[in-house]
Amino acid sequence: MTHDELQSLLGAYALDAVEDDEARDVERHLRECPRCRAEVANHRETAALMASVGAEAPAGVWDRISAALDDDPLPDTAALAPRPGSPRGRRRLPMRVRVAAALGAAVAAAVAVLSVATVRLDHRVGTLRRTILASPAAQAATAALIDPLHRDVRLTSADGRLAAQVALRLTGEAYLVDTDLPVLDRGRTYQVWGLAGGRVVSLGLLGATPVFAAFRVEDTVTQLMVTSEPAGGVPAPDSPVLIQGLIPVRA
Amino acid sequence: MVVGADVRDVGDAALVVAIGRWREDALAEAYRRHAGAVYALACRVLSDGALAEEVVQEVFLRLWRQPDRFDPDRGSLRAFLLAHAHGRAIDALRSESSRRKREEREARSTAEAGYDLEREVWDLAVAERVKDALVRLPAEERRAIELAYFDGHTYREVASLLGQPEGTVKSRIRTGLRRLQVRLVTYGVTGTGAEP
Ligand SMILES: [Zn+2]
Repeated sequence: MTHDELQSLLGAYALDAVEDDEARDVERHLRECPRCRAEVANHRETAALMASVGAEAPAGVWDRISAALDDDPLPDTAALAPRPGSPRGRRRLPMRVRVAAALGAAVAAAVAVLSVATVRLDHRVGTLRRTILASPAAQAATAALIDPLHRDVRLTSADGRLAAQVALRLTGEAYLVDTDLPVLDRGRTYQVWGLAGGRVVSLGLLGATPVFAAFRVEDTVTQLMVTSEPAGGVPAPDSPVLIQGLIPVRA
Repeated sequence: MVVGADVRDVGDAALVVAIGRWREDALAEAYRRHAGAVYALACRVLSDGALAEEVVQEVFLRLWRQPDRFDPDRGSLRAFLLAHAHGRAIDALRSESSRRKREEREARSTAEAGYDLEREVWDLAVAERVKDALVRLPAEERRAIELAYFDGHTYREVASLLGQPEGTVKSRIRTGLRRLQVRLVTYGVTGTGAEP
């Protein structure tokens, strides 16, 4: 099939309206053609808009899904992190992402949005442009990353197993752009602290899911630290420091 | 600005990360945001509430088991879930057993208006604009898209239903989708609600 012929199928393909053999041809092509991939993605967004109606799924379906989760076998690697016998609706297995990292790169896709900061410079702008659509928080964080004057602050745990990256602008706006901090249980929050002239000051709460969390860093702050605290935060750190890092001197 | 806290406060991409960490509350939130649209689409394609419920179940269980299949760079979670739902609905439709059911097609109303009021309002606002954009499409393009997407016909079937050449139908679907997209963008509808 020529490229023109393939392209002519993309609209019908996005609506599942091609024959099986055509679908296979298109799929093979999509693996190597970003332009056609983008076109299919666009058609699917448009289709999704056509299908977006205000409606509720019938009662009972969620209960069946939730019951099925309880019967779900976990991957072998789950042995690394014993499954807590927690009731439904609470975190079942902490830090699956890291546990599953052993499974390979596939899982990495799930944290793609967290990985903005790790994108190499040459790919940075393209990737950021796409991610920038994600949310206002992501937008502000990616704007900080694009800013050539921002500083990267690398925070790590003492044993090196947890890490995070903060993008700090000259204005003092700081964004947690990449982290493998686990999602906290309800009722907990991450809190970020600064070391300023020998004193530890709270710089703000990062929430339980510290994705693109934002806070302010005054000029006097030389070091950042993150702890996990009860929701609402505490006036002074009450728990061990999870990750910390020095702020690089301004270039 | 403090971001984060509850799953209700995060965008869809972060929600999927949390699902990847086996947070059932994150899956429940994704369900709250999108199950209505998934169910409505499956119902519309299948004309069978029970089958549509199975599709909903399958779609959210796959999200739970394989959250990494969603790539936020490739589009919205809504579009991802609906594409999966549509594919599953079409599979069911084209299988022999349900072909019979389909012949007994009985109109089934989609579900009652829902418990996620904000999203519902958002969906309704989008639906209004989509309806408007669809109406303004050339009639043959709209017909071809609707027969393919909502009735689950292949473009070849659409061609024979409408008595038009296959190539024409194929390009009408593609052109119509593009036209629709451009129009929706000019109406300010650009995504499928990645935000909480
Ligand atoms: Zn191509």
